[in-house]
Amino acid sequence: MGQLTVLSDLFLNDNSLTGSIPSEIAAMKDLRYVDLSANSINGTFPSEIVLMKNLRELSLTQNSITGTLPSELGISISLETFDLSQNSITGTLPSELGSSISGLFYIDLSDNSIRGTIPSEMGLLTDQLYYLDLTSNLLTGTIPSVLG
Amino acid sequence: MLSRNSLTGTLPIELGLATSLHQLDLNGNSLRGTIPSELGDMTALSDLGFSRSSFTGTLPSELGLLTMPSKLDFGDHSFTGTIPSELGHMALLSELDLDGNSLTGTLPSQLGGLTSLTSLHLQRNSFRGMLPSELGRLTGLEIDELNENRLIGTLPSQLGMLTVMSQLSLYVNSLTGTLPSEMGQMTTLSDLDLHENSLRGTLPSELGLLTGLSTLHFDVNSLSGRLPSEWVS
Repeated sequence: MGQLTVLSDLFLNDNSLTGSIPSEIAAMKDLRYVDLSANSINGTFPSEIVLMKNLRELSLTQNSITGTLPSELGISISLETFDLSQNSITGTLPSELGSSISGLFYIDLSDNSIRGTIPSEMGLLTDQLYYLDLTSNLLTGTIPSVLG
Repeated sequence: MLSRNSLTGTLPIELGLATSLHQLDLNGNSLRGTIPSELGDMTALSDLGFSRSSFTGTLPSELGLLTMPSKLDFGDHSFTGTIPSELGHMALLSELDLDGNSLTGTLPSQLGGLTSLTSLHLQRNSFRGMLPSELGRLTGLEIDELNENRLIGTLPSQLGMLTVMSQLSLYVNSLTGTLPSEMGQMTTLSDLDLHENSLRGTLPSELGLLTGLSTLHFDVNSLSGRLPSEWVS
């Protein structure tokens, strides 16, 4: 029986891993840094992962992850950098993202298929936001003035 | 003890006459030159340290005559040449630190004779060749740092015999082959770093047995397959 429950740093980036991220990963309650970027991971984005209480950095860039951005992103208490760029994410930007209290300062969602408008609530992040990249998506509408 | 002075110059060969000296602590000085082979005559020596000096030349095989030392700290010098196989005779050695030199050659299988070893620091050198399977005899080993060398070949399944290991660092080498499932027997492992090698194959589900694992670095390899659900179920 496997129990990697005290794992804090998981670096598997730049390999040829396939399959989806098992939702059971949420049982690794001490995870702080997760880098699975530059693999061939597919399947939907497991929303459970953003509720992990110690997770600070999540990098999943350059994979084939599908699904939508979970509204739970707004209630994460630990997440600081979130990189889901260069995947196949669809749906809209959850307005809850603007209510993030975790000190989220780095968000890269570039090169996905995210639709809709940029929620005005995103403006609430301006005090803490250092990097926001929404390049190459399917966004429409205007840019909230607070972000400009 | 002559540590933390500003001693300069070289080690005199007459040191070999001090056959009953127990401890030679020359850490934190500015000595240079080579290690005289006569050091091998100091057979009562139990502790030997030369940090912050800058020694050159090769490690004399006569070091193997020092059967008493518990610690050999030759880290961060400019030693060249190979590890003398005679070092394997130091059966009471608990710590071997050759970190940050310019040592080459293969790791001698005789290192398997260092059966009292708890920490092995051979990182940041130019060691070549395969990991000797005899490393599996070092069953008291807790820290094994071999990162930043030019090691090739596969990870020996004998790693599974190292059951008190807490830190295994083999990053930035040229290791190939698959991850042996026997690594799941290293149940006290806390930090496992194999990044920047050429490892292939899948992530063994047996790694889920490493219940004390805190950091896992397998990045920049050629690993394939899925994330094993056994790691968390």
